[in-house]
Amino acid sequence: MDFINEEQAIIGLADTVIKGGISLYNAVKYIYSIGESDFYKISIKDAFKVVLNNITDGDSLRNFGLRIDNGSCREMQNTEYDKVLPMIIYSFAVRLPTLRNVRNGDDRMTDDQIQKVYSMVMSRGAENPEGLIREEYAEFKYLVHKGKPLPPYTAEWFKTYIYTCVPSLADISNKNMFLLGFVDVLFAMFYACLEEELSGKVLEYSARAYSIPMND
Amino acid sequence: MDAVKFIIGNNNTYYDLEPGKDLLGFTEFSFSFFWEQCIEAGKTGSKTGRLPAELMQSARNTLSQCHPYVKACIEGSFDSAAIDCIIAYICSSENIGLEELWARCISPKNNYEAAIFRRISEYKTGRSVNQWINIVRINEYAKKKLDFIYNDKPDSNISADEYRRRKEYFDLAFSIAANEMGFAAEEMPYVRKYSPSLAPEAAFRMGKFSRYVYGAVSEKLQKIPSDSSKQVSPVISDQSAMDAFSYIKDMERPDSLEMRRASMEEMQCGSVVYMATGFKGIIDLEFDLLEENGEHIERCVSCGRYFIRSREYSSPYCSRVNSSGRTCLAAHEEQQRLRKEAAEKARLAEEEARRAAEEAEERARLAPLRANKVPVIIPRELDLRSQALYYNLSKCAGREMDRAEFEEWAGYLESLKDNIRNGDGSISQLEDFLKSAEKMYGDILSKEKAAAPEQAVQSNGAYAPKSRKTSADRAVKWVPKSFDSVSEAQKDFEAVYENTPSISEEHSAETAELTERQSRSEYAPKSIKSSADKAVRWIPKSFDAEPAPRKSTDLDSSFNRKMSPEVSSAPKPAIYEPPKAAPVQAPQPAAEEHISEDGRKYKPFVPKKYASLYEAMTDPKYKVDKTAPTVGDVMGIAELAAAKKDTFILSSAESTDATVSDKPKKTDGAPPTRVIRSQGRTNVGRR
Repeated sequence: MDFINEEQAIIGLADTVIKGGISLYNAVKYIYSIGESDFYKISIKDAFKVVLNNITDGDSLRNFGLRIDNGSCREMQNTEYDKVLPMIIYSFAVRLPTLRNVRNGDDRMTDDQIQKVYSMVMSRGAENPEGLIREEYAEFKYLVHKGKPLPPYTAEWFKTYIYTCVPSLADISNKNMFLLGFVDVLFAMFYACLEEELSGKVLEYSARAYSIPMND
Repeated sequence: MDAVKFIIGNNNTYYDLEPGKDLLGFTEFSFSFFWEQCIEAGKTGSKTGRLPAELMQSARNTLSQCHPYVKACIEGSFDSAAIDCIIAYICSSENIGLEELWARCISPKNNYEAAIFRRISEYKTGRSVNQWINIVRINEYAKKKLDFIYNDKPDSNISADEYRRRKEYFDLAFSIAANEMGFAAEEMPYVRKYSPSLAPEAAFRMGKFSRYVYGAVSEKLQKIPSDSSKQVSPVISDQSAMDAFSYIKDMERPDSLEMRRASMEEMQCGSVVYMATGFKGIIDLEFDLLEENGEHIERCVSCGRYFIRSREYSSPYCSRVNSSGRTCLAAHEEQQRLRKEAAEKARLAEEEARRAAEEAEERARLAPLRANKVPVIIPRELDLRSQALYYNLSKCAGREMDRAEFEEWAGYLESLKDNIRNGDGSISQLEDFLKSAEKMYGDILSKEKAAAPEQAVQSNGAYAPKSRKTSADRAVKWVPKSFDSVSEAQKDFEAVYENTPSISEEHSAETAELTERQSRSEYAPKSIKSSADKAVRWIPKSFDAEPAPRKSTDLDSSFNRKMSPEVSSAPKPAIYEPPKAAPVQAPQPAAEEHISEDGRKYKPFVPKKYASLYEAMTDPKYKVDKTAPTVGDVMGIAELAAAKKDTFILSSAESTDATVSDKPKKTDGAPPTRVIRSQGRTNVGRR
């Protein structure tokens, strides 16, 4: 794809992926804190709306008066859970080959351009320490090239990780059950929104004028 | 009513609340200025993407004036009232709901949208409400409750019990509605009454005192485990309280002076503090405190607005300044004064008209009589009598008779004469008047006569000033004795003078008392009159022998100079003559010439000395003018004058009888009451 400034476009796309990862990481914390004392005060639907409308804003849920400090989110304030953030970013990075499907007329991103974005994201700290995320960049590249259906983005790896590595969240409690319930929906919806955000960014950085198709 | 203190949850300040006054201020507060400021700020924000901070602060300040509770919370729960007002304005002007506005701002593009989104998110999460709408609704609540309880006709005199019943009815209706909606009573706004030391956050509100107390008990508090914090439910509240008490139960009372010094600032907040959980709670508190203090709210008779009526302020007119620049009460008082003055004027006019009508009627009644009225010429005999009396009494004026009394008497005489000349008075009235005046003059002369011996020159030749001791009774005691020599007589006189009680000790004592009381400005007319009368009455009774020799007075001498010789040739009373004795001429001191300060030469006055009183009396310098008329002489003038009938023109009996005065007050013939009454005062005044 022809970009006005390819380097800036690659950096911008990598930033979006990283910010999206941070946003999802924070959103999980914020929504988890609802279970502390605001369970009946705050509509989770509103929380989802806010998060999904602010994919790259990691603190959008602060407007709900939520805090992710030791008081309401102490179960997540440990080093084990901190490793979730690079894993989330990694989970987004391996799906970057899907950007090849974004077209501006006949123009599309090349594998090389996507590889550069992936490399930049990985260089900023994305990792899969325990190998819990089974998807790989090469696998997605292959599926996209072949035009085969892609596996949906789920929170299975996340749940597996906290069951195995984060005992404070593995404990059976009202808050933890609430967490395991909402992450399934949140992860899937968030990735869909992130994909849309990335598509918009690709088109935004492209050299040719584009028009966004109107959805009915 | 005095202000009470209240606190709010999120700060340590005590706020003043004036029950009733603040309630009325809130119900009458105009929010239009605040509304306009918010709209202006909203328009600016939508254009620039940033809310103007100054305008928002100004709007907040405006709003904080509406009630002390809003002022207390303006940095807390009412901090965002201005942006709440903007949100309400957007929703009403664009006819959209909050949800739509929130969704519109869910991905805010600027600070303005972020502020709106944040505020609506707070609504959505139940962390706040639209405080602008809340204030407006509380305002409506306060107005409704005010009208429900106190809306009556002005000054309709409703009992306190009736007001209380109305309030209870209103509050109960509210409680029933809340209960039907499923709200628990404790969820509704309420007010709690605390002692300052037991109020929430008392340890922080009473900082200085708390530090002092903490210092005293800190040793005991060290034993409290660090992880003792736990939730306290109402069920275990007593247990928790006693757990806390167990750490201080051994503390001792500190020194009183020290404790007083530490608590000085904190004790100024009063003994009771109220804490409200909401604005409605404070409004209800104001109604309750009004009732508790026996006050109520009424409509002003003049302007119809509510005002607080209490025992101290019982007027049905309020003390608000109205459009005229004055309070209704002041305007009413002014109006009342004008009304009273108008009524007084009308009454006087009516009285005047009635009097004029009566006079007109009287004139109409007397018209036939006046048609036959013949002018009367006063007989010369009466005229002379009146002139003589006038002259004699004019001499008495300022001495035995007050000058004002004399002028009153003279005025009466003149008007009586005028009435007679005009045909409105009768000769008999003048005769009666002159008779009573002559009697009065006789009394005056008797008193002066009684005072005459003392006014004479004393035996040692020194001048004897007027004194209360120169009464007639001393002269009586002196008269009957006879002596061989003047010196013997003088010795005897001195002995008698010393041994004899004063002229009238009772009178003197009374006079002294009166002098003292007059000097103290005490009014004692009765005692004055009685003592004077007593002195006058006493004189004729005591004299068995000849009266004391009468000394010629200035009045007599002047009278003699003016009167004709034939009048003054009346017989005189016998004068006491003591046994003949060789007169002893006292050596006259040589008159030395003195030089005054301005260089003029003059001869100093040297009193002449006499060997005896008789010598003094017969001194040609003080020779008695035998032509001076006595009281009887004066009385005889009329008879003498009557003999010369050729000079008089007597009016006929018919014309005199036909004369009717239309001023009965001045023509009844009797002297004025004041003249008679004043005799006593005149006598007493002779000191």
